[in-house]
Amino acid sequence: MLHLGMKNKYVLFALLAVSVLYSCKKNDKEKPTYSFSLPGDSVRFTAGESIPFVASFFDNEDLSQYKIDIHDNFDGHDHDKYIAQIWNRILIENISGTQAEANLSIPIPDSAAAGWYHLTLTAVDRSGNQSEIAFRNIYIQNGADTLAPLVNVTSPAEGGSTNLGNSVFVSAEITDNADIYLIQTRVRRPNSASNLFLSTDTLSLGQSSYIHNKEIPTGGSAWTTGNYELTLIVNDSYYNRTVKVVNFQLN
Amino acid sequence: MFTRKIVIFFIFYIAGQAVRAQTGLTLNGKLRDKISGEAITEAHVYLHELELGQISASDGHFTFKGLKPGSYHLHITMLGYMPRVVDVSISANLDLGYIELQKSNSELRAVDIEDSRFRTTKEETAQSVTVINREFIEKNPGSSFAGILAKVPGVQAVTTGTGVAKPLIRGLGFNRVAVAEYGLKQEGQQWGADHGLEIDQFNVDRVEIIKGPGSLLYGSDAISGIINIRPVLAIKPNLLQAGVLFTYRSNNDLFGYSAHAGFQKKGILFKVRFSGQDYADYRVPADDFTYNSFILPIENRRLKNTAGRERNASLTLGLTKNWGFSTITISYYDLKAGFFPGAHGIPNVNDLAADESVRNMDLPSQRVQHLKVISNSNMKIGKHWLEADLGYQNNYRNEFSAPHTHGMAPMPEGNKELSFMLQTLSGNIKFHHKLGKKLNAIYGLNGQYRDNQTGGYSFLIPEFREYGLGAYAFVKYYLKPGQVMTAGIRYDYAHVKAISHSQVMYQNGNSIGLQRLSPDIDRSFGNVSGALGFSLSPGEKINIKINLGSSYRLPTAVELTANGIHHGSLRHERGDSSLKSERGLQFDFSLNAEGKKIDFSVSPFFNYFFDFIYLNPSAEFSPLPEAGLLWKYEQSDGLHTGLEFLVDYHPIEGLHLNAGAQFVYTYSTETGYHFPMIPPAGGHAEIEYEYDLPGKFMGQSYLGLETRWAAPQFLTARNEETTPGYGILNINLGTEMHLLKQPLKLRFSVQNLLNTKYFNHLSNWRRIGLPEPGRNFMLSLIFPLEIKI
Repeated sequence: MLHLGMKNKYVLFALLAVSVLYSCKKNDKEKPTYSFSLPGDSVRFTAGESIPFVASFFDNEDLSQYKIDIHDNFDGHDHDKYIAQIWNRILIENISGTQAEANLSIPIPDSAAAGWYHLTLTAVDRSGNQSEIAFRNIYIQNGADTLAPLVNVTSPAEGGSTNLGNSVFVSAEITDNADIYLIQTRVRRPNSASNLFLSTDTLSLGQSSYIHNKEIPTGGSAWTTGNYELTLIVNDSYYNRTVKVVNFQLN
Repeated sequence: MFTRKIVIFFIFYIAGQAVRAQTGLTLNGKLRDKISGEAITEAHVYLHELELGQISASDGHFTFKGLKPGSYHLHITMLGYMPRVVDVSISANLDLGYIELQKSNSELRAVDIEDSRFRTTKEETAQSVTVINREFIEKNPGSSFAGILAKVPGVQAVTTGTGVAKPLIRGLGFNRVAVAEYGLKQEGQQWGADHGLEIDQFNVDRVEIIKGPGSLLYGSDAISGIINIRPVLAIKPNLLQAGVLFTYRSNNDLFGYSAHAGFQKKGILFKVRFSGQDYADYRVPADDFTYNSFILPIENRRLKNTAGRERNASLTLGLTKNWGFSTITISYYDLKAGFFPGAHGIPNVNDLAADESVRNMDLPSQRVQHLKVISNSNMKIGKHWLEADLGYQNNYRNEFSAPHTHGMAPMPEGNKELSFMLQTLSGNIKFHHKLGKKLNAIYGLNGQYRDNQTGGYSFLIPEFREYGLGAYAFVKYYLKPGQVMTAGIRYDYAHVKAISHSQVMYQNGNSIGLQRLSPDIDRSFGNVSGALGFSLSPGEKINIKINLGSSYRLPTAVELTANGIHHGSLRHERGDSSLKSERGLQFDFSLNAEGKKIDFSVSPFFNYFFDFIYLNPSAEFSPLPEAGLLWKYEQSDGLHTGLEFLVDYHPIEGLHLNAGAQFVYTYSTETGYHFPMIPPAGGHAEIEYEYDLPGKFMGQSYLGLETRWAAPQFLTARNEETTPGYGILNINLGTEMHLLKQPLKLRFSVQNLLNTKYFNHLSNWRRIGLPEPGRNFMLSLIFPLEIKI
């Protein structure tokens, strides 16, 4: 029987520990994993509330950090003139060990603009292996105003037609309980993503009622006879949105 | 009185010189076939030191007149024959008598001549040198110059879209491959993964690809090899040589053109060229791509905003006299290209909707303008030669993007995200010293000074100044006929000075004060490199090369000081100002054998790198929006090994079955992973038939079917995704039409004939799941013109 003296036992343990730590840094190729419960996809929250975030993280060696990134999935227009603010938040937290928990309440500011947002979650371990990235869609509505603008397209008529080469005149009556901000006028062929016409108008603050007029010329080689789709997208300053589609023909 | 005597003396002296210059010495010879004894006509005979070319007459005869005494060498090339280099020493009129050329079936050998750095034949250099010329480039079209080079085994291209590509040699590139044009290293922020090579592909006459350590001649940045673009200055004398080229490529509706003219008469040389390309968004065989598990659309199967336009101009003026030659070249390159919005920050579905035109270049976009003024001279000093190259380069690079702060910081003014102006002043001097019948030496001095200024609302690298000096000696010793030993040693000194950069930083909308993003740097580096090699020809048709060398590379500005989002790598990169130089110990072996019907070459290599610099993911996330992990530049020792092989079987005249493959393996001793962005095993196989069509109207024609393949890449770095393998099919055909005195050349090619959806492990956009371009029809028409003047 081999008797290890006290001193030798410690030395042996130290050697083992060092070799484990060394191999951990050097050869750890496993990504961390996690599970988290944001109730389903496409959850609705209201500005001023908090997003409950509960998650568990796992790694074979040693966790290092997790990151929650919340950012908008809007169309990238000029945000500054909105009353509501597009909300973006990055949360990076340090964790450790082979298992860690997160239990957070992420407050949504009162002024957050209404609309679809992305929430992503990812983690990294001590060796630099990054986990898969989870995406969730969340919808935030702003309590101050949840009513989208009312849009009544008076011209062109649904199913109407004009001669190729002549202009198509768009006219719409728009009202909102708060403040109309942006109107996008767009023409495409049905089932196409190519814009034959694209125009974006932003209104000055304080307009709750507006007549929108636009002339769409149809000369030039891009236009042919056939069916077209006119789309009007109207956003109010809280980012509530209305979309109206009118089909017309060119002869 | 005294002054008048001086004046008279000078008049007589100059007159005397003029008379001597007019007389001079004559060199002539006659070319004939070694076996049949028939005279060889229309062969190209080139006197290297004076950049003078002659075409052998109908009886095989050629003459050079007005030469000064000294040592020269002639390169003699003729299609279908092995090239020859003849050393001559002239002290009186010299008649070389019959010079015999040996037939060669090898397509690979018919055009290559020499390793021009050391003025030796390929046989006599210890390193593996592959030469490709204009014929090869015309026959093997690609979207970019680097893409064309990637057809050579051992060379690959890192791509970003279609118009932007940079070369790799044996899987290593960026600042590990020195690209030289007109004798000077190209300096254009090579560290950038999405910075393409600023070279006019239509201006390339000849490229020498040297695989293996190149530090001996170029100092830093040639650790993996050298791509030496050499314009052929020698033009047939007393002729105006001009030409126009038109090209069309269907995949991205590219229209390209290039027009050139040049002459060499009475010792004056003139060459001018203009080129341009305009292209639209390119097509891929996919309807969507995946960004981090999100499926995003590719509208109309065209990658929006990948259109571009490139313009090039170059002018060379020179004197070719009996004392040598001296030329000055001015060239300008201008590229404007869009970036795919899906690859520039987190993609937004709206950004990806098709816009009004497939040709417009909207934000995000880049513009690169590269100006070069270079002087090349070769002068007689007594019996020996002095080569001098001196040049100025200005690389102005701008990246434009609509600022996104996501409400976290105040919006910056304007759309100029990054702006760099890099100015480089560089020079090389080489003295060729013939020490005896068996011993040649070259002594050289290199110097380089670089200054980088920055601008734009984002930060990536700071302002810096760097200068370097290198001195080397290289000898070539003929042990026996067919056995050459080469050896060289070099010392380099470099100094880098970078200015610290601070800016106000924000976190979640609040200012956290002035933060230093990158520190002051004031560092010096010293390095010794060396090489020892042998080239042995145990038989006339077998050549073995063995080369042992060391090389090094200074850390680049981005590796030392980066701190920001680099869209090219889709990452937040952070440099380390204490990084040391990379050093490599390299061993190359290569065997080339030429038989009656089959040629074969294999080149294994083995390198051990000390302090290899690469981006490693850290255990922290970047606080910047649109960024993932923080990636840091680190150093680790590592292995780099692999091989290339090439075989060509020509059972009957005109028919070639050709195949080549390459393999690279790397291993980092620190992480236990492989290094990132290493090409997978891959190669090509081709069957081609060449035939000179009978009749007066048509001429030399060819038809070829080719496959290019790559194995799946499993040898990846940390957090790097594996890439599936692929195989694509290409067809190449071409012909010559004798409408006028000069043949009109037609080249047609279909790349990716089957419209295969495949991924390139070396594409920057592979990480966002974007496949390579789909089927591409390419057509080129080349009209040469020659007028006697």
